[in-house]
Amino acid sequence: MSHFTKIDQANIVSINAFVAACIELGLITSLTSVRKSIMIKDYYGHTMSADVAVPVGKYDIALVKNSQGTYDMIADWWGVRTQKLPDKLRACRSDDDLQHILLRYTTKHTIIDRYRAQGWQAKVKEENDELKVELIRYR
Amino acid sequence: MSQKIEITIKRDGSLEYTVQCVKWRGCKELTSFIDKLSKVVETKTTPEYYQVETNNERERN
Repeated sequence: MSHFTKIDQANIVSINAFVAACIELGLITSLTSVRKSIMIKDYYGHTMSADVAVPVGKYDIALVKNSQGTYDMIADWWGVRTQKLPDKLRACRSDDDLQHILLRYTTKHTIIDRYRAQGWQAKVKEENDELKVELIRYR
Repeated sequence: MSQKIEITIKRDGSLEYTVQCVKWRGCKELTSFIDKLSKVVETKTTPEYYQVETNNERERN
């Protein structure tokens, strides 16, 4: 049996996957700079409680739990883009570009973490701003 | 026997995947985690559906 499925833009469901994505993209080098349960400010200067925040120069990219139980990614995106960014993020031309690449890598880690824990092997290729994930399990 | 899921994470974070498995092992269950990451907008069986099914049936007999 075989089937094909399309799914809307993925929600962020895992803090660990988000942090792993930030490390892979070069925003942070280790877990020591990750802060949990802190207050952050958004673009408008509003203060809010965040579940986790990753520093990018003078700014933060944070996850805030929403009413659906998933996480919203919050930042002053313009401010973040004015900071010295790692190579993989330097090509981002807009706030959307930056949010999308973070979401793609977070989703990749979310899926791989889950399936590897169930005995699947994973291979990943990057092609034209898309991530191709191949999962195989031998029974 | 292997099970295989090929996932494309699109530029905007949306997803497409194909899964190859065997019916009586709960094909849908294999990908339920991915389905829950957002809203499923389309799902359909692929051309291999009937062929794989037939081969598997033959193996069982």
